[in-house]
Amino acid sequence: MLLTIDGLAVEVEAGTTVKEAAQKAGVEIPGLCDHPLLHPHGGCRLCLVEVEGMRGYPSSCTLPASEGMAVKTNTPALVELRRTVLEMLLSEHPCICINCDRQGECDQVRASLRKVPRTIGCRYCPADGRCQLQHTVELVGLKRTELLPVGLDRDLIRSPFFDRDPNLCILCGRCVRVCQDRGPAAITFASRGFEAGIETAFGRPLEESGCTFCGACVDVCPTAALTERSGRHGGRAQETVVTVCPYCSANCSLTLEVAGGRVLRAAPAEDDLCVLGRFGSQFVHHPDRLKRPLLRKNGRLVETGWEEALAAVCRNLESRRGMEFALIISGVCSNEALFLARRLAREVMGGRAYAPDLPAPSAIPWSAGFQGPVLVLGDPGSTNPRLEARLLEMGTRVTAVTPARTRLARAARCWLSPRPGEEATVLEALTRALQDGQGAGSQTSSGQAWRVAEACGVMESQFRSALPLLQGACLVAGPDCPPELVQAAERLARAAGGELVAAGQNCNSLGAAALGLEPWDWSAPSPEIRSAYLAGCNQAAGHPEAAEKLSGLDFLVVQDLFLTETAALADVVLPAASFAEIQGTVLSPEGLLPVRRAVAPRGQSRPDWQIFARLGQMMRSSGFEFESGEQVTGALREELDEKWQCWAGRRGSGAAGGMENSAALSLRASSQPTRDGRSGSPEGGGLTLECGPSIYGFGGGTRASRVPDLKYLHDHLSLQVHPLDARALGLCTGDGAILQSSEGWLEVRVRTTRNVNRGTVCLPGNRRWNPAPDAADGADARQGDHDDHLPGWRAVASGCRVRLTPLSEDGR
Amino acid sequence: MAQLHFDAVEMVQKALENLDNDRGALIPLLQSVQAELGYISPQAVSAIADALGVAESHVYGAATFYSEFHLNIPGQNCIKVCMGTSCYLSGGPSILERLTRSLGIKPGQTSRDGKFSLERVACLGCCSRSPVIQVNDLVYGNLSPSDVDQILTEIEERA
Ligand code: SF4
Ligand code: SF4
Ligand code: SF4
Ligand code: FES
Repeated sequence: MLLTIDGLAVEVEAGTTVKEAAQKAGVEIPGLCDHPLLHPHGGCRLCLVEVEGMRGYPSSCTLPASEGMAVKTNTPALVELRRTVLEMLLSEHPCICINCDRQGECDQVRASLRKVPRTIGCRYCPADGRCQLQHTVELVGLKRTELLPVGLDRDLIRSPFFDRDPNLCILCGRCVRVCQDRGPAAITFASRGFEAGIETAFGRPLEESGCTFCGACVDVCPTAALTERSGRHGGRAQETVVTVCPYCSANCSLTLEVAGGRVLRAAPAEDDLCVLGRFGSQFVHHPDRLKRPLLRKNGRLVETGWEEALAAVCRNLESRRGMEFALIISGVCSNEALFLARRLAREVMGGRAYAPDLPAPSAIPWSAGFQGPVLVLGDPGSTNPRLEARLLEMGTRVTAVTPARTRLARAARCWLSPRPGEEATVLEALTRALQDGQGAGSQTSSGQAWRVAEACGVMESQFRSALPLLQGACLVAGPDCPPELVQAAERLARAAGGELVAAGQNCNSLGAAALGLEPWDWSAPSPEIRSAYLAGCNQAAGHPEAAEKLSGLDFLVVQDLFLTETAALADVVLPAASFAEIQGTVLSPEGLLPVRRAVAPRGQSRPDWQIFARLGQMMRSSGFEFESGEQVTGALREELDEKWQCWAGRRGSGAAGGMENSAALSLRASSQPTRDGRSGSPEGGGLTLECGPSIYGFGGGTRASRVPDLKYLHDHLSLQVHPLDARALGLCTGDGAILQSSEGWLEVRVRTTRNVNRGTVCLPGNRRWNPAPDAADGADARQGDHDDHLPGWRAVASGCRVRLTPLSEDGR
Repeated sequence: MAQLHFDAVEMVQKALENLDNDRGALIPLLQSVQAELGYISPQAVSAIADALGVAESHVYGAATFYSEFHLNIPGQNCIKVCMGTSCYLSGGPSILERLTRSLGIKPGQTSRDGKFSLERVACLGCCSRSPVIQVNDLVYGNLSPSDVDQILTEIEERA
């Protein structure tokens, strides 16, 4: 349709607002509540326009454009109106700069104004120069205000990652709306008049209000009312680099803002981000980063140079060629690193290359375009948040099978909630019901099937309503699903004529699968390994048996960013460069994505691929002569393409059973030991513990625990208890309690919620349990030489029985 | 506290039976909770949010928007400070400020010992005696900030 804006003709599609049409015509209409990511709101009244034949001054951000409209944006009446509106807005904002006689000269007066703790004018504001209010003042042409500003006396509200300065808030509501759109709805408009503000319910801290710390509110805030702390005083970005988030396999793209050789912050590039992508990059500059290689001398790890360290690795590896050598590398590393690691392990060492974080071999990559029904296992929100967001959008097509009342379970069409540890049995029952009699047809067989499910805590009605939703379904299993559950899902996918989609744990788990690395599992009987090379994986964390096996090896090399529990056991530790310091690629469900270098490698650390290439050359093998990362990418591209074709061929064919390696089905990193005590019923006294992962302690926490606010959130996660169980124990939200299992004990804070079933308590994350008194001696003996990361602790299994004892009042 | 939560859930369920279960039920629910408890407790907010399938922040936002709802346990003595035009112009704000400082609470709050709660109201209908405050059923007029402490002592002694 055609309309005119200030006499300029412009052609737009139906559904466009007048404000957008004006922008297309090159006319900027001011406006502070409008945002491209949000639905029109019409709250600030700055975007008023005049339309021929229309009475009054409609707000252009909510007015749909229509054929032949004649819009005026700049009449004297409009200018006057806008000035008044803006003036009122500024009366509750520090507008001292506007009224200052020496406006614009302050840089010459004082050199470093941003040291003041409180924003009292533009030059003191963290948003100076990128504030949309400043921009609007210029656009509207406001030079002076008559209304005197009211006092600024509200306290700064601190929360992890960002602060809210209510004095700078113009109540545009962008943050409230974006938070609502994304689901958490943690914040709201509260009160009225001068008291009005943006608050959480009862002004509680954000961490107790359902906030997921996605940072979307910070991104849409037009002023400095919401600003993140990291990089706040770090100056402006000198350079931006678009790269891939280094955490989960959702592979969101992010923009790193760089100044002075440091990553200031990460901002969303096109997708929305979750807390890890938005705020999780700080580990890059953590002081504990390994900066030089370490070599064990007289039983202690001491710093050394690359030449000596690599020579030691070569010397030791050369005498240990053969199947007794294993290289274990995770999908944290780029394709280039995985490719050369595999070459080193297989061709030079004659051993094998494993990955602990592979998706199931029969699984195909997630495809956003999938149209059929979806069955989701586990809680993708705790491992792959943006995948969860995409699944949430499919709400009515989704069946969720999970004990906890997760966000997805609440939004799903159908939710089956077995007791923790019984999910696989429920899937088996579904498979059986589908196989015998195709669902509802045969009463007897599906009757038997649901009785099995019922014994696991699933109601018959739920079970029956799930069956018709499974034909041709796409089964999504995240990295929090144990191997037996993935196997059960595989069988169900086959019975339903659907497909299995396994979301990998790390950003490049898919790459590791495509490059044919073998699954690694500590509990599977593997050939007797005598020496190992671990890169990007902390296998000893929370897994004392693995730690013991690793420390019993003849020779161990660990290549990582930090001195992890595993690295502390090594003979040689090699410092690797982080995602922000390398050039390479990762494989995402949409194809190959570039990882771009933003800053120089920390200290003497080197990109993983370079270390493998150098070792290959030193061990006098051919096939390692690469000058640059791009050359390696070129060498591996063809192989990835081939694998990609193979996956694409399988998609939609209903042939979920294209299993390549049915013998090697036990896949998952076993940093979480397998479940025990699974048959326990809640009636037997005590409670069943469900301890899924937490996004705040991503993976083993190697990187996330080095981001202070992520660590804080992880360590303060509450124990979720059903209100009825809590009442029986005399506990309520906020109370302290001691949680006891056969493995040890932990002090926790309780939060009552109906998100867990009765008889079940849920503690997300990989918390370090204090050893039970009789196990304490053993734990002490295993202590490594790195204080903060004792390998002695053990991850406690999901499904185990626990006792909860309230902390006595005086014990607090 | 755990007890309170269940009372709130039951109360909300009972109130809901007489209403349509949708977003329109929010205000009537808040009203019935307030009629029952005298204020809107955090437990009630969480129970209402659960029952209506909305976020707690949504319920809280609505409860704070309407001045008829209180979010704190009412004190034994309820002090209402008039902020109508007449009182506002003749010194209402400084009376309120003095009360705030003496009691250590802001409008909408209840003192820790539970003796006083403070509230600002639109007009008490005694403009001729402005500025005025009302304590329980008694109206005090023609006040200056220095009268405030004496009134407070008087009330405490009477109790
Ligand atoms: S960080 Fe995300 S979840 Fe938290 S308040 Fe902001 S928008 Fe809402
Ligand atoms: S905090 Fe920012 S986004 Fe939210 S209402 Fe205030 S100014 Fe708008
Ligand atoms: S969803 Fe995954 S890829 Fe996206 S920002 Fe979060 S951790 Fe990174
Ligand atoms: S931008 Fe249109 S009313 Fe705010």
